Amino acid sequence: MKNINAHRFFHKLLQYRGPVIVACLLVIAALAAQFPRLEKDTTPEAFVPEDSPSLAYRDRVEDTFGLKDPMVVAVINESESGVFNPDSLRLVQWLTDRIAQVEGIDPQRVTSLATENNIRGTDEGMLVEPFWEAPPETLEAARDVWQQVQRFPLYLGQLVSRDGSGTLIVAELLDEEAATDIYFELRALVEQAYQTGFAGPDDQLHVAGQGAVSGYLSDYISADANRLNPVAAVLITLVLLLAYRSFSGVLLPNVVVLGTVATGLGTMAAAGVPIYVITNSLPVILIGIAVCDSIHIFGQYYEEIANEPGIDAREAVARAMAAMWRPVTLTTATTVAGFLGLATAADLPPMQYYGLFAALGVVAAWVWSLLLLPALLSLFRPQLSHAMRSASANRSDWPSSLMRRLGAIVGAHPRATVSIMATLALLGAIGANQVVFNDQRIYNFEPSTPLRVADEAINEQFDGTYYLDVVIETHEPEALFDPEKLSRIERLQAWMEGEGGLSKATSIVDYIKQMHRAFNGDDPAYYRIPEDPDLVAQYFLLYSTSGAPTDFEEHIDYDYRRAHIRGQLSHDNFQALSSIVPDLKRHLREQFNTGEMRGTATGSLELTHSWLAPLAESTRNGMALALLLVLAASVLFFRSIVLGLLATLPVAFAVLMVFAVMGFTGIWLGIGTSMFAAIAIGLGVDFAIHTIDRLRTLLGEQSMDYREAVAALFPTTGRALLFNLLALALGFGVLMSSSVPPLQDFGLLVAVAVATSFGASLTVLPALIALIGPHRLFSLTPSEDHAMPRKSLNQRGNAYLPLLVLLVTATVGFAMTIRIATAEDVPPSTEGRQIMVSVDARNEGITQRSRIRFELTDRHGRNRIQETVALRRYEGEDKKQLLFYREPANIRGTAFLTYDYADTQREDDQWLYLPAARKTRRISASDRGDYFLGTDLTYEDLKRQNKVSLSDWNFEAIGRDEIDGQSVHIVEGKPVTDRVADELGYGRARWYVEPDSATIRKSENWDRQGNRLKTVRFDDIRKVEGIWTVHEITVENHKTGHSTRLEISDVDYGVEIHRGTFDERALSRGLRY
Amino acid sequence: MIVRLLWLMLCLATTAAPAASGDWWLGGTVAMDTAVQTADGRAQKAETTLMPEIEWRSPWGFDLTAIGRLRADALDRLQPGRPGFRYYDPASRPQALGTNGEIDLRELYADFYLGPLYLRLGKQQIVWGKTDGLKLLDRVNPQSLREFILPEFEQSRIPQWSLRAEFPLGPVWQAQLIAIADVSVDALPPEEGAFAVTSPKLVPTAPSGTPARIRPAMAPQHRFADGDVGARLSAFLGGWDVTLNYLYHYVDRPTFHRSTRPDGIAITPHYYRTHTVGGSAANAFGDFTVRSELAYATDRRLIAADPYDTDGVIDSREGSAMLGVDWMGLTDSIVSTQVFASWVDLSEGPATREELEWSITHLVERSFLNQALTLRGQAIHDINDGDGLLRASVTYDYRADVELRIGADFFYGPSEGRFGQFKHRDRITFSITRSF
Repeated sequence: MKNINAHRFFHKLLQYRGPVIVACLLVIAALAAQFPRLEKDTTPEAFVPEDSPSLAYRDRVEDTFGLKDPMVVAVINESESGVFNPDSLRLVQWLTDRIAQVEGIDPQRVTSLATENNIRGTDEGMLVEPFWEAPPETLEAARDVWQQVQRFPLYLGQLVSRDGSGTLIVAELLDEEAATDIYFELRALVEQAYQTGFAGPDDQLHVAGQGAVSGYLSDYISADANRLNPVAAVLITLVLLLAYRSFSGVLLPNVVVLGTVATGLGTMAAAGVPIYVITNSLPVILIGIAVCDSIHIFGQYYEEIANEPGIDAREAVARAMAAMWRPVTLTTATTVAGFLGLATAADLPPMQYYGLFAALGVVAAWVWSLLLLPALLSLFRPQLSHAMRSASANRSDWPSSLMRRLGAIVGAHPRATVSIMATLALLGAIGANQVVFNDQRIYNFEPSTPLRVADEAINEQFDGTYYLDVVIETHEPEALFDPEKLSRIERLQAWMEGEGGLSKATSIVDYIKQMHRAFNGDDPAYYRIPEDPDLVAQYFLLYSTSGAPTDFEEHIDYDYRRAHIRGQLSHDNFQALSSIVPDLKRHLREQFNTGEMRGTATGSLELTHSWLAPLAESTRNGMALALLLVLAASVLFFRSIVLGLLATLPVAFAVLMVFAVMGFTGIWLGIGTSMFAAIAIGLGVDFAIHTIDRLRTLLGEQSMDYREAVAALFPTTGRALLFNLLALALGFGVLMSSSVPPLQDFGLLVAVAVATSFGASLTVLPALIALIGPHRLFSLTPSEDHAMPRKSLNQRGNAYLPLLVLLVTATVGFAMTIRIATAEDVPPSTEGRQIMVSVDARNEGITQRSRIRFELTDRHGRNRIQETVALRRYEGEDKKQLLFYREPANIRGTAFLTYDYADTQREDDQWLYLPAARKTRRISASDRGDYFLGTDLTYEDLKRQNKVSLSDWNFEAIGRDEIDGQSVHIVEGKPVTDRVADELGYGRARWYVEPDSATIRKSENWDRQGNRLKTVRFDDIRKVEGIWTVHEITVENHKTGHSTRLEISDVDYGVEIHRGTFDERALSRGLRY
Repeated sequence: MIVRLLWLMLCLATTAAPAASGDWWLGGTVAMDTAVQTADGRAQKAETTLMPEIEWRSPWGFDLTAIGRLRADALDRLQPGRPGFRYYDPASRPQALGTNGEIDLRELYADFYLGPLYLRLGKQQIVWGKTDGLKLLDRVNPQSLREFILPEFEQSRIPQWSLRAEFPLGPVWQAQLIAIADVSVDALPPEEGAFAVTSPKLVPTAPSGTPARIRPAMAPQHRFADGDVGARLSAFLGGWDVTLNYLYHYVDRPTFHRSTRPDGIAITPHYYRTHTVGGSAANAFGDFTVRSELAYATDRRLIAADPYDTDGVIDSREGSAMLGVDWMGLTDSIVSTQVFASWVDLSEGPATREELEWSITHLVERSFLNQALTLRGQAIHDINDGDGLLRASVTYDYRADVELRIGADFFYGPSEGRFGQFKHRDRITFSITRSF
């Protein structure tokens, strides 16, 4: 848009200012009306992508063993008798009873000395009984309990501190959503204990646990946001007051701020995206950013009034807008680029949302600044602001003077300026080298908060409230009665407690050993695993006669096939986890796992590690991408690579300096701080852009020499930038007063980053321009004919606006598309169906990569050979599969993608990418009975491989047979409806299922008319990484005489396959696996 | 030429040389195509094409791909004489081998995988849209019209030096940004070529008796300043594959500006820029797949119907749409119909085309013998002009690596039409393709 066009546009806009104002305010009000729908999600799971294999596995394990993140109340007494005195134990009983009555707590899952059973030996054998029926009345009785606990090592460090000074009451929640309320109820209960005298002077009570952390964090960040947002608004208002000292100059930017925050948070609420721990800072940041456009527009507006006193209000506004729309648009684009860089590179959903909604907010600030602000401003009588009046009377105000003096120094000493920066950069590099990537969740709370105090106290006294678990899986019911397997579990526990770095590891083995000792007269020599599997089985039976049937459900499943080792740690420090978790996984893989028994690491610490580990890389990527996008935007806008690089340099320098600050002061690069770089880049580049844009005018259009230009730059643009910096630094600086320590660090870092960007943009940038003399700045002298370049420049500025609009549209669209999980149908329980259900339930791993060689042979014996790579990934219960052709050359690159949904009501989705057309074609999924690319396998066969869709068939077990010496069940199936039969192309089928491995060894299919159609053999079935895997499939088509043989090799489970690989749009990129 | 050949070899060699240290693949196809005109029995082409391809997967996380094309036509009737390649950017230009052959570095690009960011940098084809046979959004790369629209677009598209960046915007949306630093435009066949464009709808005619002179084209020249940029956002939303597209680009076919001279009239081909915005959507419903595409170009310059119009050009804009339905209800078959509509603004005056034009395409394809044998029939019909193209082919995979194909291409309708102009070029084709 040429200035003249822009001027015309804004004049037109002001003509209709009434409707514009009403329309804008209506939109803002509509968005603000969405606020009540905003929700909070502060759970660690919020950071994990929905389809994370770690999360899926953990959820499955939690379901199996009924595990939840509990609330923990600790009773600590550091007097001589410790907690084992009558008063403290009565307190334990009282608390246990009261906690069980708290709404939202599962009364069956409150664990304490008052509820747990002791296993001890008697003359008759083993006795399972509570530690007390009523709390001990005497010190001796209390000490007796302590002795009994000491004889039960399982509880030491877990339920009771090893020195007897403390004990825990562990409570699981029925409703984790109510965690905040429950946390406060427990705190109130603790207070009540003190007030009613149940807690003595030596008793210390603490409420903590992972459930409490999640619950309280939500309330904690709410309170923090409620406090910070008004402070930010007040500070920004002060900056505006300082800058313009006029009513309109203070009021109108605040309207823009209001509109921006309403847009950012309103769309977030409308899209159903919750507020996470880190998005708490979003309003504050939007407030800081929103005001910057207004500052520049107001600066120009007052300059227009100063240049032509008595100017008409609309004219003054139109002129100001015509001059400022371009730099304001440009800085918006670069800031959006920074935030989108963050959204793109981040793997964690909260960060993606942060980037997207911040970008949306920035675009909103731009829209309101270009539409609403001028319309409102034109209602005011044009009057020079008090602050600007002094400047117009050539009596510089202090900001102008300050900037003028700085300008004089920079103008005179460009080389020295650059040298100082180079030295600082060198020092910065040394500091940046010392940055540590780390995080610890409890550090979200200030050291003095009761929860953090409680967490530290409990984790000091006990073996830890953070869990790294191992799930042991075997293939046969009651396999875990086998002493050899139990010994291996015992050795694994010992390894976890020793080399593994965990404080304690407990499992069903500890109970078995305790029962064995109790059965043998409490002789410590029998605290070991019995050698007879029958004895183990009998112990469980014996226990069940006096203990509750659910006592072991957290440790072993109902048919004794799967068990659970709970590893405890007193912290979730990522640096420590980054060796503990991989070491455990390596140990399991190399030392523990066999074909018969397999251990898998899981639990909250594994989950934390799984999402934090890639964070360091995504931080790097986010930074690189933000820099690249900012560079690209600057190059495009300035139409010069040199100017683009110059615009990017100050922010790159600022990021280096911030890393140096982190390195030297020991601030961790963690969840809260990892986003600073991408944000600082997007914000900081604004200074450089305004500087270059202004220098372009001064050097080119006004033909000043370098010193004149710098002298003119500082008191005008420099002054506006100074207030821009103040707004940003204060906006982010407010975060330093947050109660959430990572946000304090984040605020500090971004404030340092923008201040450094400001400094570098006004010092080293002009200095470098003086030294390099970019052609683009110095060439536009009046002597040259520059009509064409300027014209094309303007055209281009216009051209990129639609790009921005497109990107913003995506952010809204993206937010509207939250996936909904679906429930699985429960199969009926006939025998045939049960067999096929077992086949369907067979573990296929979360991801799989393999090579498949297709050999197609026609009735004349002519062969066609095709080589493919197959990828598979489960996302929850949904399955995505991808087949890439590698050979022969004429079909190389052909790719077939399927989404197979667990929801039987939902039709599958399929795509075929044909390299000859370079297009991906949507394939109707009802063609599943069609033969796949010339093979004898239908699309359905290929998708299921060694499984069968349960919803398509009615099954019947018809007998047994033998294949290759192995006994197999024969199951016959008929399609559930004629339509399904039509779709599948089969009228009947028969499967030969080998029960131990739950694999199909052979299948036969008949067509709709009852003719024998084909026979499929599944051979070379062996375990790969503990998973039954078919390595050869042969299909004979009896009608055509054609056959297909599949050789499956290089099978790899658990391979990292990025979710984006299964994206229809990624098919054209070809294969990189 | 020697320099160009050396450069080509160097490009292929740089890809091949480090192959020893990475995972590499060398393959390609060699094809012999012949075509005989049915009107006069004359052979139209007898062409041999070698397309070698090298891929190298480096151990450092990026891949290199180079695709070359060497072709020689014994008859030289498609592009008679030594081909000039003036429509190509100098850096993209094929090299003529005498009058009958050419060698071309079709594609040379590197793929980078930087976390979620994917970059393809180099000479490449960028394909948009969901249409078959005719193009709406697929306008990123220009096209060689040496054989009109008869070859596969894969073969006729002119790859350009460009950057394609793709990255996810959250879990659902994916962004593709493209920047093209290449000023190639549609390569039109020479006047004496078999498929030279003669339709007055596509090339202007001078008033009778007035001598006309063609002046040098005003074509894009500066790779950076005249480069194209675009963005595509795509998503999988509720079962729909949806894209939103934007392209700021030079229209690859020129408009012909007329100016009056003392000695007659001068015609200057002008290339001009436009913003094209649009989108596409596809979904499957049972046996049916629905595909649709929309495009709107802010600038479209048309040939004025009035031979005495001042500059012979009507400034306009164009909106176009396609709705297609594929039916896959029969085993190994596809039946597809597409309807295209194109609207232009004729408020400035009448043009050689109508304000609203309709085309329709039909495709029937069925394969047999485990897809070794494929029969295909296609019809493209221009409803306004009543002309069109009928195509039929039989393809047989004799072996996995040998394909035999016999086909027929028939044009019909008035000779002023887009298709009718070639009705004397009806042909029978035969080809053998061997991959290695």
